[in-house]
Amino acid sequence: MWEQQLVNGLVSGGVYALFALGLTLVFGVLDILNLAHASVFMLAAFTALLVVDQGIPFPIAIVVATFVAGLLGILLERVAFRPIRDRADSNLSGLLTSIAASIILAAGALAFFGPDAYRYPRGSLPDHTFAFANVRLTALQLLTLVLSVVMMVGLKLLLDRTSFGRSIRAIAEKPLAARVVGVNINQTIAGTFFLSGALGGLAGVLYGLLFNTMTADMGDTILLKGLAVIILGGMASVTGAAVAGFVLGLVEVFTVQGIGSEWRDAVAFGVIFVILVVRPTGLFGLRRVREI
Amino acid sequence: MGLEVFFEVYRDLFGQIGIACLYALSIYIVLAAGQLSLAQAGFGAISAYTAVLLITEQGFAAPVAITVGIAAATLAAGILALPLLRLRGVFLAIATIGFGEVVRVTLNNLEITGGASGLTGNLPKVEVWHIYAVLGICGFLLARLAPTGLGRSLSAVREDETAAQMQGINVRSVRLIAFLISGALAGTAGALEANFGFFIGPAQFGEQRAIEILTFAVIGGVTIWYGPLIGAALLTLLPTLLRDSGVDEGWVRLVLQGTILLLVILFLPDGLASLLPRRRQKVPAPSDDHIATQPLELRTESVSRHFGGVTALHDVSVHLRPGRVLGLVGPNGAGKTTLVNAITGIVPPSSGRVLIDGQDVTNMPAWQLSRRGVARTFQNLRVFTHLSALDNVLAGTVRRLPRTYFSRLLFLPHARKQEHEQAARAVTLLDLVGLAGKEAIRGDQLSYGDQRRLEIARALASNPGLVILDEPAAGMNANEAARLVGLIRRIAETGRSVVLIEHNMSVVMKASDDVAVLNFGEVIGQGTPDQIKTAPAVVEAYLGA
Repeated sequence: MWEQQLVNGLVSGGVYALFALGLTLVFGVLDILNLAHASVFMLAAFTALLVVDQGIPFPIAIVVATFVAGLLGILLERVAFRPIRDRADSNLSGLLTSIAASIILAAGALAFFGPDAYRYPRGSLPDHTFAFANVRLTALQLLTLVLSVVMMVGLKLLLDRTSFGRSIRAIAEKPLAARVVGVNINQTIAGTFFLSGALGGLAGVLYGLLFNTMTADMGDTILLKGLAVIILGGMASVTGAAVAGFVLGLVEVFTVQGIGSEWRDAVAFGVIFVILVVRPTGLFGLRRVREI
Repeated sequence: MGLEVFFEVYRDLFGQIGIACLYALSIYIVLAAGQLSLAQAGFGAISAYTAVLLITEQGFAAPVAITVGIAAATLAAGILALPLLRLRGVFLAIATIGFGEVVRVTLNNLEITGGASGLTGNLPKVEVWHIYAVLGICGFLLARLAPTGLGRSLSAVREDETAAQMQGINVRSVRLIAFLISGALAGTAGALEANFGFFIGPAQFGEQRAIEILTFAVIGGVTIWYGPLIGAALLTLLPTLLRDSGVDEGWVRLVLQGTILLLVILFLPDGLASLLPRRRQKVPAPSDDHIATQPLELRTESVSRHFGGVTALHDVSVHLRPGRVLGLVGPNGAGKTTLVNAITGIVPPSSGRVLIDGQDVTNMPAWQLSRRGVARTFQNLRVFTHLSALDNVLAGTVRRLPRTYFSRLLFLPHARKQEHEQAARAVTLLDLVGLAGKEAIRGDQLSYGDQRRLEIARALASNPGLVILDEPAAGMNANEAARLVGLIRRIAETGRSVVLIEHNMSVVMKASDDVAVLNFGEVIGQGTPDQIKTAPAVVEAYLGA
């Protein structure tokens, strides 16, 4: 029984981690918490559904929806974040513009799709199930696990090994110095938002595939989980967010088993509270010291 | 439509607007202290459920139940604030979102709260005029707060916590007070809301509501107390306006709400209230009553400070005799600012002692030190950017402001008189540092040199016996620097000891009685300006071997 729960926890943990990585990237670079990330998650899930509805196979739909989500990230950056980027209180006004953007995007989804739940057409998704010992793993669960791990490793390599990754880290460290040494700030930030949107979008598509339901408010719960993950992981730490995503997924399934499913959503906030109060830098974060 | 019918038709709407306005005041007070809190809906829920359960289960009279509900919300705010006071900015926002969700999940799962279907069976007891009477009282209480000590402390904390501490403001307690008032106001809104309709449920106090309340404040603006009320009224009217003009789709309202919010943040950062004409600040004539003070003696004994493996200060012992000016010089990175931070309790020393008038003040928090008569300016400016020059200086006097709040509530003339006297003294200080005529200009619109002068005036406002000036001449031309020397001498003559950190050697040599030279965190020379000019170790540090 517990082995099955372990697998379930890892699968949802993978989705949480992907979503949270997108939040972390933007927070690391701009110090802004992008609450509209949840809307990208939701819109990507619907995009994949629209593509599949055209009779196109779902693997292509995943790629298309992820790409569209990345473009949405770039759009968000232009409209909501670039105008306030140089303000002294950009971290607070950025939070507020991201709230405004998420209200508008949610309204858009409501206008197009209404409040109803949507499902993928019958027969459009694989229904194969693998069984090892007493653990059952659906093809979609396996796909989620594999894709999330691949994306995490890919992101880590991108950040550590490529010049684009170095530019991102340079801006995260010191925007002014990055500009001085010739990093193209606008381009790098736009690229970061593409990555962020794509990660959040992929998380949304996978979430929609796993549970086969898509609603206009599906981003609400994931947002709070994403916040818990980045706090647990130390806000701007990519490795931290990846590990913390799986940790949250596991803690949740075992809470459901131990206490009851109605408290599942409270786990994330328990984590938020304890970490913020006990160790505000998260499991992997480093304290930033400012000169006075 | 007759007036009576009109009120009957729109009764609910009027009530909702009043309740929204109470929530708006509740978030105003925390935002006025710079705290982005999304806990308002949660406080409202605690009060609403408490009040309804006391009425339906215990048979309490409505006024009693509402009062207990408000007390419960205030208590919850206090309990929540204690662990969260160390969090800032987005972290506070996240934690308060978490709090709101915990409240919602709890209400959803407990039997006594009726789970997701909420509580019914409580008959409405609150009339529209009750809501507006309460709103009027709460609004009045907040409106009269602005120029009092607490009001000025709130804006100082919002603008810059470190600078606020250096003016003697206990930042933690100001933030706690803001949270408590906010909890009480949100509790008032929640308890009235619960007794205005037939039903309360968890959904009405969720994250959406919390964000909506924040939106009130952002759209209206928080630079003045009535700003959030404008936002609350506008957003609460919006659905009815749309419905009456034939638009029924819920998404239209959301699109409008989001777009208004976005446009306001991008193009009108101080909110709609900033479009309204504001009474110009009255600048009184300067008063000549100078307050004499006792100069303090400062002594550091073997102060050291390490950052990881780096030794920023090593065994630093300096002595400043009362009423004298001690120049502190040394190359960049010598440890001058670290020494000042160690003295003022902002970065406590790793070892050694700091003595003021012979008393050990090592590790004393900055705000307590300020109350003992120590004031400072900052190397990288910490002017309160959104406040006028005059308000900057007045924020520096909060510890000495007369307690006028209760007299202000009664519009007693002596409150006005005392405030006027205080402002006149602030104008005198601005004149002294050379900012005459610039009293009404906002901090961030002053030139660099003027901001440095403003920091000096603000430091003097707390009537300190020891003033520490961290590079006051930076960015000043030769002329201005020469006048600065005169100012520093005047400060010393009015009975204050001065520590002067400065790279401009001519300023240091002319203004100081004694000079201490730091290099690599150690004192390499101490003496009169003339002795220092010729000391071999100093010459070597400055000119190289």
